[in-house]
Parts: sequence; C-alpha cells; structure tokens
Amino acid sequence: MKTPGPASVASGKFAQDLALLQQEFERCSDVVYRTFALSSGQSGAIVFIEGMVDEKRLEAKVLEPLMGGSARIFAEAAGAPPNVSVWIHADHVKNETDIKAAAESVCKGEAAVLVDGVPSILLVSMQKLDKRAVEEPATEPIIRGPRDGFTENLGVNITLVRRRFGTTDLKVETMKMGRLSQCSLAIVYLDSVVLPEVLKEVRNRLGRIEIDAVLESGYIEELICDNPLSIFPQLLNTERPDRVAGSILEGRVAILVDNTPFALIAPGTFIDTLQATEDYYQNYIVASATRLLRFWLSFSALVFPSIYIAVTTFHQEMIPTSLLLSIASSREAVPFPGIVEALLMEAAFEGLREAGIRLPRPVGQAVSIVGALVIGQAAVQAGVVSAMLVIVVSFTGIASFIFPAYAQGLAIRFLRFPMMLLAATFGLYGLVLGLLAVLIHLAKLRSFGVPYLAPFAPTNASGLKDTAVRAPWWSMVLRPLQTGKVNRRRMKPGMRPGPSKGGNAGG
Amino acid sequence: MRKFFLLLNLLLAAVCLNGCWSRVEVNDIAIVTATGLDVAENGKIRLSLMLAIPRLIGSGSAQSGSESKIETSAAWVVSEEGDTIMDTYRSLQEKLPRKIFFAHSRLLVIGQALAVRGIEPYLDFFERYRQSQLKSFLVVSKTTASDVLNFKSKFEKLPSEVLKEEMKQELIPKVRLIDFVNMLTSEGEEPFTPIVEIVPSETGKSGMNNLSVTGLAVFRRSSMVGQLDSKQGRGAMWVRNRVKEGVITIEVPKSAGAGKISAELEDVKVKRRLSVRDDRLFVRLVINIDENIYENTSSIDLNKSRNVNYVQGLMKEDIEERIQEASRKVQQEYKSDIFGFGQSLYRQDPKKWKREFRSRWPDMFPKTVISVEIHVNVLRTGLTNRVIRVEE
Repeated sequence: MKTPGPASVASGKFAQDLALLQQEFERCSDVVYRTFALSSGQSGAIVFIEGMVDEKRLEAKVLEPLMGGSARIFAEAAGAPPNVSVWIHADHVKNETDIKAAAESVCKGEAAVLVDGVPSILLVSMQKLDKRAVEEPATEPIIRGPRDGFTENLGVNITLVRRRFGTTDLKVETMKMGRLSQCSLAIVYLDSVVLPEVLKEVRNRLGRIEIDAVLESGYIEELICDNPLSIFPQLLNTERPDRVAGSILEGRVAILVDNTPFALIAPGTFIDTLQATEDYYQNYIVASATRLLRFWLSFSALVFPSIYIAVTTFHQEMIPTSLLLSIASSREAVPFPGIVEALLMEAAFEGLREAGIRLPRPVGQAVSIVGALVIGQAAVQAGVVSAMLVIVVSFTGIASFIFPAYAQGLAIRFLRFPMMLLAATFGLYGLVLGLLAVLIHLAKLRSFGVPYLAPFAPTNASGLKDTAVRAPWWSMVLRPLQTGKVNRRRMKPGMRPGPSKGGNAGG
Repeated sequence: MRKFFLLLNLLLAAVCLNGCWSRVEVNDIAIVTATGLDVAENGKIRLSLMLAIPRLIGSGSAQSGSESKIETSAAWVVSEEGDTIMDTYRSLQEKLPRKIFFAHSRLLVIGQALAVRGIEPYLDFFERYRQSQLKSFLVVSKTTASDVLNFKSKFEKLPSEVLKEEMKQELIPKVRLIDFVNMLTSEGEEPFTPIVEIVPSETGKSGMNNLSVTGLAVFRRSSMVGQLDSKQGRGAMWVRNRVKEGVITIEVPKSAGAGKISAELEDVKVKRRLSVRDDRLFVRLVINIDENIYENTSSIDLNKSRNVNYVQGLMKEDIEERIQEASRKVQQEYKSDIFGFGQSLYRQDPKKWKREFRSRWPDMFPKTVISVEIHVNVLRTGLTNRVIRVEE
C-alpha cells in the first residue's frame, strides 16, 4: 500500500485531485479522462472506464446540465462549495472524498465527476450492463413450471425472487465479499418465517470469510458448510428462482452471489436433492411415483455395479440358474476379473461424460457415437468386457443422471467406486459395510444445525409428507418442522376441494 | 484429521491384506445343474454331475453360428465312482479345470437300483454341504441316473431344465429334498418321489426322446419298495391333498347317451376325518371339487341340472375308484404309509400315538379303512350348452 494518508483525501483543487486519480489509475489504459469547462469558467473532469459506463446517458445527464447550468450553480452557492449533485440527472449520486475509494468505485463502473472548487468527488452510477436475458436454466430444465432462471446479474436475480413476493417481509441484505473482487452478495429470507438461529449463523459464517475474490457461489458454499470433509453437498444450489422462493417459504435462507446464476440455499438436506421443483406443480400421485423412482434409481446409481461384482464373484448361488449361465457365457471370453472389467467400463463411461461436457458442442456428438460404438460393440466383441457388464454400466449411468441436484449426483457417482472396490474384496458383506458407513456419515452430517437426513432421522411424521411421496397441497398445512418451526402454519386447514354441498349444481 | 488417516490406513491394510478370500469368477466355475446317484457294480456309488457349458448356452450373437441346432445340448455329464459322495466329488474335481459349483444343482436323480438299496446314507451330504440346496427336486430314475442325465432334450439346452420345468407344473407330484427328509423323519409317514423315465415322444413309436414323470416311487424308510403307475399315483395324490390341477374324463354309459365328458379341476379341497374303532383306523376323506366341463362327446344335455347331477355322480365314482385302487396297492402290496395317515393320527393326539399306535402302526396301516365322500360342483359347462350334432 503506497497511499499516504492525507494525500488521498480530495482537496477540492481540481488539478491536484485529478492528478491523484491519474496516479491511482497508473498503467490503466482503459480509463477515460474527459476534461471540460463549465460555463461559469471552472474546469471539470469526468473519469470513467471505457465500456462500463453508458456514455450517451453520461453526456445527456451529466455533461449537458453541468456545462449549461453551471453558472447558476456557482451563483447560487455564493462562496460556499456548490452542491453540484442536484444538477445531475441520475438515480445514484454520492459524494466521496477519499480518492482511493473513488477510484475503486470507478472500477465498479461508476463515473467520477470532479469540479474545480467542489471539495468532494461525485460518483454517478451510470453502469452499462451487458447482461444475459433471463432464460430457462440449463441445469434444471422442467416440463411444467416457470421458465425463468437466474442470470449473472445480482440485481436481476434479486428481482426475480422479489417478484414472487408482494410483501415487505422479504428481506434482502447485501454485503461485499472478496478483497479484490468486491463481489456483492445478498442474503434473502422471509423475516416472519426464517429461523433466527440459521440466519444468525449464515451472517456469522459469511462475515468470517476473508478471501481475495469470489468468482462463483461455489467458493462461498465451500467456505460456510458445516462439514468440509464430506462429499455430500450441504447447501443446495439452484438456478431456479421458484425453487429459491419455495425454500424461502419453508424458512430457509438464500444466498445470491453476483456474477453467478447459482443461488445457495441453507440449510440443505439430503431429501432436497431428490426433489424437483416440478414435483410441486404436477399431479401429486405422478410426482410421488416419480420421486419413488428417483429414490430407487439413486440407490442403484450407488450400488448396482457393486452388486453385480459381489454377486458374480462371491455369491453365484444367489443368481437364478439361467441368468448365471448367460452371465457365465458372456464372461467366457473376458480375460479380466469382474472388478477390473467394471472399473474399466465405469472409467470409460465417466470419461465419455466428462468429454461430452468439455468438448465444443458440434464435436460432442462424435464422442457419444464413438462411445456407443467402441464400448457398446467393439469392446464386447473383442472380448475385453462382457455384454452383461455393458448393461450394468449403462443402467448405472442413466441412474446417476436422475438427480435434480447435480451436486448430489456427483457425490453418488464418486462413491460408486469405493463401493465397487469393497464389493470386489469383501462381496456383499463389504457392500453392506460401505453402505453402513455412508449411512452413518449421512446421519452425522448437519447443515446449519439441521440434521442432513431430516425428516427421516430424526423422524418427523408431518415432515414425511414431502419426502418419498409428495402429499397433495391441501394436506401439507404445516411448514417442515426443521426449518419452519417459527411460523408453522402454511395454509388454512381443511381445504381439500370437493363439490359444494349446497345442492345448487345440476338444478 | 489424524483419526481420519488412521482409519484410512486401517481400511487400506484391510483391503490389501485380506486377499479376497472366497472370490471366484463365474468363468472359473463349473456349474452343476443336476446330480445323479447310482450304485456301481462293486458296491460303490457312482456320482454323475451334469455340468453346464456356458459357451454353448449364450444366445451369443458372435460365436453361436451353427451351434443353435436342435440337437445341441449344453450339458456335459461327468461321473466317477467312489465310497462317499464327497470322496467322489473330490476325485471329479481333480479332473476338471474349473471349480465345481454345486449351488445350482436343483435336481437330484437317484437310480432305481440305489433307491431300492436305500438312500439314507447319501442324503447326509446334501443336508450338510454348504453349496447344496434343500429345495432341490428329488426324483427316482427308472433306469440309471446317468441315463436321465445323458438325455438330449429338445426344448431346453439342459436336460435338468426339462425336469425342473416339468416339476413346476402342478400336474405331477413334486418332492423336494426337504420334503423327502421331512417325510422320512416324521412319525407315521413314509416318503415317496416321482419316477422319471425316458419315453418316446410319439406314443407307440420308438425313439426315446422325451423325459417324463411316469409314476410314483413308494419308499419304506429310505428304501424304495415299489411303484405306482400314473393313474395310481394320481389316486395317491388325491389322498394326500396334493391335486391342484388335472382333468377327469368319465365314460357315459350307452343307456344315458354314449360318449365321454372331460372336466377340468379348479379347486380341490380334501379333508381327513379319522376315527379309531376296534383297534382299526377309519379314514374318511371329504373331498370338495369345483370343476369346469370343457368337452362333451355324449348326447347329454348339460343344460338340465338333472343331467349335471348325473355327470357329477359319475365323476365321484371315477375319483373314488382311483383312490381305492391306489390305496389297495399301497396298503396291501407295499404296506408303506405314503398317505401319512399315521402322521395325522399323531397330530390328533401325540401322546396316544406314542403310547398305543406307534409300535403297532406297520400292522395297523394295511388294515386301515378308507371311505370317500365327494362333493363335486360343476361351475361352468363351457361356452356352449349344446353338443354339436349334424341334423339328419
């Protein structure tokens, strides 16, 4: 830090202040210094960064009034430093006397206006935003439901949430994060529903963070979660404003971070990662069936290859005779033991998936074709892997993509590999041990004080209405116990619809 | 953190040091699908194992080629003689490149000669050995067991599958190993098993190419003492309440309209009523049958309930005749209580059984009087009521 104390304070002497600013922006070729003369004779300057400021508006709303009406400003001021800000046509104008702070604001896209004889620097907010339109989120597409998704702009994101609430009860607290990035961050919650402990904890943990830059909400997620050694996501991240709104209504806290379309929701629980927003918009029977399917598939994604390995290498008596014979016949030509074969294929599958994401879109298709041909056909015919295993791997692959929360899918996909090793060394015994270890870990996890397995463990009967099944809305009168205990009533009870008893209908 | 690494080290050590103690790949095992036991000339036993050859089974796209011909069997029978089953089994293992895997042997075939000699000593292995399954089906082969195992089947690639599928139908009595052991060890009951035989697929022709159950082997203790033919076997099954499905065909006498009527059994319930009078056991079988008539070549009009009653009467007679025929054979000739009457008596009063009947049961059983009370209920008479007749 080279800034000596007194020199950084604006003096009111135009040339001196401008020189200080220029010194601050040394070797920053994108900074524009526009000097001008006011009609009253004083000289002035506007300092801004090219591209971040709406230059047309700047000209019309700042330059014109100052150049035209400046004589009156200075006449009215009569000796005292004139109040220039009232003449500027902009929403946000602030006075700044600290040169360094002014320079930082300029970096955020504000324009600094210096006028000779005015002791403070005026910071005019005239940012030009290159922002993406509000589009359907790419990571959480749905059939029925709103199509809007968060963008990279915090202001837009807050608006998207705010639009869903017509109440002052929705609180938005903003703070800056990151020494260098100065990234804005907003904590959004409903004041009457939120758990005060959780809110306090969120504020605490966010306040504790000292980092040079925050480029994505993933930074924050990792810095504030309860158990950093766990593979499971303990905060929910979503691109969907409706999901954020729904979580806020349950008494949770959302953290929106500038420059990222992913909002964080705290606390997050295991069951959240298996619930899609769509479940709440569709027929509850269908939604429940889909959820059960998700439960079963998520379990398969974790253990299906391991079961195959365990059963074919340790417990052949468990397989129906005819199936065993066809497994045996398909494995006849394969030189590797089951585990090697499975690891090969699973690694190939994960590779295909990763390549599919990283490759430019037009090339991406080639990967899937090559994958299908090489692995599906050639590898089997060449006797490197067995046909049965290809079925196992592809089923597992499909199953691992069912998670509405992508992060949970990653965790399960990773855990599959230790499970396979356990199954290959200890058979089903090892598999059960592994599952137990995962279960114990899950039971131990907490997210902002809420048990990760809630409402299964600790069991809470009314909470179970929105877990494996999604109960009809008219029966979910209360908010979830774990997060909504401050304000439990969600709706008037007894709202189950039915024909009116008046007897008017049908005449 | 230190605890975490300690745990990780322990786990790594455990994974690396255990050596996958019982790991064996499916392509390193020889899957036994049926076991055969015979008596060898020198008094030893001959153990035959039917091994599946996976290479020949897969509907494999690439390698099958001409092997899908109907004659191809995917089974390979190996056999060896020895003193005990374990002994023989081990010497077979020495000759095979793959590890014999026994858990899928769901069929135990016993040659008639061995069955007559008594199979009790050999059952011990099947009860004790970890890989053997008590739910395996037990059958007696009319010739030697290896004949049955060497049979080339048409439908299935493995002969063992033929019998397994046949056993799954409800038409023939099926006896699992555990049933046999139960019958053998319980009071007042003697075991029986189905008899299989290779028969021509077209009756009356040569060409033995069909494996079929042709009757029941009757045991006393663990030795086979005789056999019932198919019809008598059915009769015995009526007494044991093991009839689930079946067809009854009766002949309508000339006076009533000459022809035959076939009915399918639908719901059979048999109850036993026992009473002991003058030191003799009287067994009353109360049989309730629902049935559907599906064939009628006589001129009887089944629209009339009087006629239906008449048909029902004929059916009663038919069933009763079967039962009496079976019981004559079992009681008089073989004197082996495969009906389990003694067991019923025991269940009624175990103390009295032990005190009075147990010792005298071998004498009492042949004198037991069986009476039958049958209630036939024709539920349906088919889609049409009339008999097709060309108008003259």
